[in-house]
Amino acid sequence: MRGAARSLRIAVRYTLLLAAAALMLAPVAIMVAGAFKPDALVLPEAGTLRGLFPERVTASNFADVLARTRFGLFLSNSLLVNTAIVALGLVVNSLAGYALARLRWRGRGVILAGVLALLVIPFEAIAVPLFWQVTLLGWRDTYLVQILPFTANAFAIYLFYTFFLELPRELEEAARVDGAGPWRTYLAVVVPNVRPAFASVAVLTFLTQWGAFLWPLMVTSGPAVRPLPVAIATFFTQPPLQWGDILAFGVMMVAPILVLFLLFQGWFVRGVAASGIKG
Amino acid sequence: MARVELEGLTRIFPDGTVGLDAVDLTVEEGELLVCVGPSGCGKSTLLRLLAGLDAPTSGTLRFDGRVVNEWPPRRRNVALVFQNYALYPHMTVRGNLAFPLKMGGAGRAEIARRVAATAALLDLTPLLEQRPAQLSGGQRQRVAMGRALVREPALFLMDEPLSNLDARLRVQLRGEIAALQRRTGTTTVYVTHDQVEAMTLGDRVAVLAAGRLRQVAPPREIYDRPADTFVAGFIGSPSMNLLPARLESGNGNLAVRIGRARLPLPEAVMRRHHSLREQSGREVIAGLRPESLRPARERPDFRLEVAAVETLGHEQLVYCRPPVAMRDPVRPGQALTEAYLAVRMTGAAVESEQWIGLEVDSTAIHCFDPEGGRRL
Repeated sequence: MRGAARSLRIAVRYTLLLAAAALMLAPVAIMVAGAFKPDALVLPEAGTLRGLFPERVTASNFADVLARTRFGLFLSNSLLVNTAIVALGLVVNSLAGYALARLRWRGRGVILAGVLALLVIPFEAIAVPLFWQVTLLGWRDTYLVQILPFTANAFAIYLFYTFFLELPRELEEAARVDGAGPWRTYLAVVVPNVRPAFASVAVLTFLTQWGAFLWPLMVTSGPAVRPLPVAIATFFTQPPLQWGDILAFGVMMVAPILVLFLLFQGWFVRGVAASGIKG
Repeated sequence: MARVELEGLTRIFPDGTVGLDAVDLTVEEGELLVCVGPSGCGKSTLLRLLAGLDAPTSGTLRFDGRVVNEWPPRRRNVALVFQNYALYPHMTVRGNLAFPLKMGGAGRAEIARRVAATAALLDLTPLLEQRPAQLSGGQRQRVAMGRALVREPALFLMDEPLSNLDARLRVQLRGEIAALQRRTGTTTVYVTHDQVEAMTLGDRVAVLAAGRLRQVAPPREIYDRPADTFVAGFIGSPSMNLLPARLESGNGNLAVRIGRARLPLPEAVMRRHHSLREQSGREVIAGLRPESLRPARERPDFRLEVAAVETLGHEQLVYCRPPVAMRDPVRPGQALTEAYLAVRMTGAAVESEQWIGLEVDSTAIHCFDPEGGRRL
């Protein structure tokens, strides 16, 4: 009797968990399934089991996307912008975090409080004044306007700050006594010992910026510097409206992130965990 | 090798804490000076000022006659062995040893030669490709020593390098450090809170308390002629028994009265305490080392109840209820209600709650001023 009740409880628990998982994964599954279906079958089969398990598989949607759009350009734009944001961001944010954690200077407390305050201010709140600023500077429709405003990041600074605080001071003092100057100490001793912080910030920044939509939409007009999120939104409005092509575009947009995830799984998990523990 | 001079060296921290208070000290070339004292006494502060990791508030620091107050660490040619070794965890042992040489601009061949030589000296050659996390405590300590040695500095600074090791390893490495220092002849300042290390390692011992230098002298002199009650109470284990007493004259000589016991002071003591002769009738603090008290069946100076006995194998430490309330080494005017008189005995069968007779070796009596604790 007790065994049957326990089995029932486990069954109910798993059913609920599977249902929740299915709910979360359904949009992705529909996207992938629809991308490999003939375009004419995408809408009619949506909402049925065939929507998830196509009878006929084709790559024609992907070919269509490549023919109808400059996908290669948009992909390279996204890769360039995101790589630059991550690379510059690692330099800028790590140095800022180090200065806050290790150096003593007037106004340090105020700046640290400011960084913490920025954590709660959403980007949308400053998007318009920032737009005016970049317009005045003549930066619209450039790579620079998509990179520079996101180089310094309050969350990344704070993450680095907490990692540097935990590093034993004696390591840097040992380096000073061994004859290293400030830059040598930072590069040769400090940075190698906070590699998890660099990995975490790189992963989280890339994840966040890959899907950035609002700002690129505001500051780019032509396709020359357009990144993937804006490109797919534009593609959506281009006639003819072919759902198979749109879903294929989505799959192609997500594919680089998936490849990176497979290559750097461990760092992804640590990065997300660090954002929860350190933040 | 460097000769180090501290003149009025003071360090006051931003919160007002006095780390060092007007310390005057000279470390001769090639000397191994041990700085000892309780936690917070200023010994690590002293080391950090010598290394250039901290700046003095006032006073002068000289290396070979040159004022180095403003010099950064790399200009001072000092090497520091940290308490927790501070090895670079991301570098191999070879990398750790090579790092200071790289910072000094040495060429690859020179670096390789000196790393190999230092590793051979410290038995580190088999460990060169390992990282600190793979090493034992003793091995890490050797690597920390090696990183200091490889630079051939003018001054070695060691901040309690043995404190994280077990007792057996401490004894072993203590000997190695002493041998190494003798071999290299490098001026060394060694900081410890362990008085055994202080007494066994140093050419001289500097005793610090609350930022002040209480005494600097060879180990034997520190033990036989402590400058004040603090040094008397800190050096020696168990520490010196400090008892309130009074000087009395009679029969042409001076005596110390402790409770009901009257202890005549022999000439050896009078020579040690020049100013006593004219001070009959004054209150003093009498210092008795545990080994200066012996069991006596006939005409003992004291009859005391045993409170506790510690058997150490070759000897016993017997703790007795004192004839009068003992004094605090730090605040000699203050009585200690829970302190016991320590006696070192060999071959005696003594148990708790037993009453024993004790006689005092009068030649070993020390006298201190009850006001400030200074030796009379």
